[in-house]
Amino acid sequence: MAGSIPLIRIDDVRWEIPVSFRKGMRVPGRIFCDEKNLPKIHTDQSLEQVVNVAFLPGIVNYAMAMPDIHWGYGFPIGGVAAMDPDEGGVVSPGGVGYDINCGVRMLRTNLTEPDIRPRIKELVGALFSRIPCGVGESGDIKLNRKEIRQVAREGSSWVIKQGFGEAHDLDHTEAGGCLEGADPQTVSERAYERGNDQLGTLGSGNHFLEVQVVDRIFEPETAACFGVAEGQITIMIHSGSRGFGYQICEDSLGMTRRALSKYGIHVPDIQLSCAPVHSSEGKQYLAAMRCAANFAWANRQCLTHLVREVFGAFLGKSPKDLGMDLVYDVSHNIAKFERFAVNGKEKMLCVHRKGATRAYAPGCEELPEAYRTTGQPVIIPGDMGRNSYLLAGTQQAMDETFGSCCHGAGRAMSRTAALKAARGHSVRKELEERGIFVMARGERGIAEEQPAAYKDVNEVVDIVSRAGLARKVARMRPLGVIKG
Amino acid sequence: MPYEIFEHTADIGLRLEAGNLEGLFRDAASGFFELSTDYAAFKNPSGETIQPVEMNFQEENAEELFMRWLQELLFFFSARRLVMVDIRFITLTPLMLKMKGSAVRFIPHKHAARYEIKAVTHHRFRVARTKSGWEAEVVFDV
Repeated sequence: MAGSIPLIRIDDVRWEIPVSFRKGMRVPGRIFCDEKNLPKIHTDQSLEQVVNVAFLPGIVNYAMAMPDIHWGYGFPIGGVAAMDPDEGGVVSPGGVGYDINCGVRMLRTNLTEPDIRPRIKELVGALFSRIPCGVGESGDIKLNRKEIRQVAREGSSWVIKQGFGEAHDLDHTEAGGCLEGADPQTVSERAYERGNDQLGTLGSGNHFLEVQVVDRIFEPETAACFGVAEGQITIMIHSGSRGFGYQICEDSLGMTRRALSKYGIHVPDIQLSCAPVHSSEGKQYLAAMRCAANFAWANRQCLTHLVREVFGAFLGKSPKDLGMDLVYDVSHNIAKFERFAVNGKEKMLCVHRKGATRAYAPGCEELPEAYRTTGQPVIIPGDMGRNSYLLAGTQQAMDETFGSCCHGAGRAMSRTAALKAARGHSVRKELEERGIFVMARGERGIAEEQPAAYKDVNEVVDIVSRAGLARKVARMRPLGVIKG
Repeated sequence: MPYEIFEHTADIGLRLEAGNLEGLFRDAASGFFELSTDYAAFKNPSGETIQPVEMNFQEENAEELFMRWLQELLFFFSARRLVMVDIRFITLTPLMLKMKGSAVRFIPHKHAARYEIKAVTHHRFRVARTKSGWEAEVVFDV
């Protein structure tokens, strides 16, 4: 049980599970958390999952977990693990998750709270009626087989070519909105069938679209570089690869389960099934996963286009005049090849981020020119009642966590517990009394996603900031929310 | 209810007990569709087009057969918006399933939506024969 897993205190925000804790662990576990939040981690099996990840062949340095850690499948949510392909390193679909390239993007505007506040209900209603969300909702964009294959291969750039955004959006998207090496031939017919009417749809569960206001700036110069200022209206979009990605993950798990015996790999949890990066199965998964990642970036790009259209029509101005530029788009469920120093030698590693965000430091060549002196914008959504954050990457993250930090607040309450907690009162009304207007397909979804169901994002972000994994740049609070 | 819902931090699990394999598979289908929509409303469809559905597959053991069953239900619902309203097993053994049934199309805004089930996970997945029949546990990613 997680309670019996020893945690050795390294400092105020770092804890270690020794490699000697369980036979078969190849590296120690490293948890970023403070004393106050540690008991929350012990309430589920997420530490056990950190131990399990440490079994994976080729893992480098640590099996890591960010302060938003909670129970996932195979990997914990908040998990980071880098594998060295030259040392038999594996790629694991469970280290990416079903929602491949689930991620967040943030748009800035020239608007301030007084421009929006009096009409927030109308604006949220307009967004809700234009942006497909919820169970079974399809989008207006219907793709034939040739087109969905192009989305899978080219990602955001393909939808921008079709008119869903601006070319400069690509500069402000992780990996330019496209992973090279995506092979549409590796994707099943079922995945295509699940995905062909889901481009430009938000989904449900914890996916959302929020109209926010910047309520605090921590680093004025960096914020200015990101185009963000106090009092400004921003928009945050959280969605992923929809049914297309879920099906690719499901198809791949069957393949990597069979690969375990073929390559003599022992994993303590079948949901951690994996294949060597250099194996045919590993290559096939990566080629299909990249298709899903590209679909997800294209999806968030289409959602961005819809948001710009709604704001433009609502305010009678063009999105350009409203200054609706993309600050950045980050993935938080992905496996990517990235170069890092390991024991003084530069290595190309397969970095798994499962509920963790890339947080590249100032100076990284992968960053667009505009952000090269500041470090990468790192977008951390909270819950719909508290805050979200815009952070910037650091050298400490490059040195310690393969350029990664947390991805959100992290759930603290199960869905059924959240429903019980909401009995007898309306979460929607309570939020409205606090000036936050929510539209969703049902009360149940709002109750399950209520603020109390999540850890306090302010504390989570404080931990990554104290650990030096990211710098606080700006804090936002929600004004309007749409959910599936 | 012929099943029990159990908690997982971010998701939803079903715990099932049935006297025979057919009961287990049937109850799992009920659980799946009740988590996804107001399933009772589909049981007496009026003015809806009923579509025939057939499934025929084999697996190496009961666990994989049950996983496949749930994955098929998910695919039919997610990709084709089909809710099974009648399930007739022609053959159901721990290794083989042949089913003929009928389904009604789920229409957003007309039918109540509950969870969007993304996937049937292998996490804590279990199917076992017991003294009194069969039991299973499954966690859905929502």
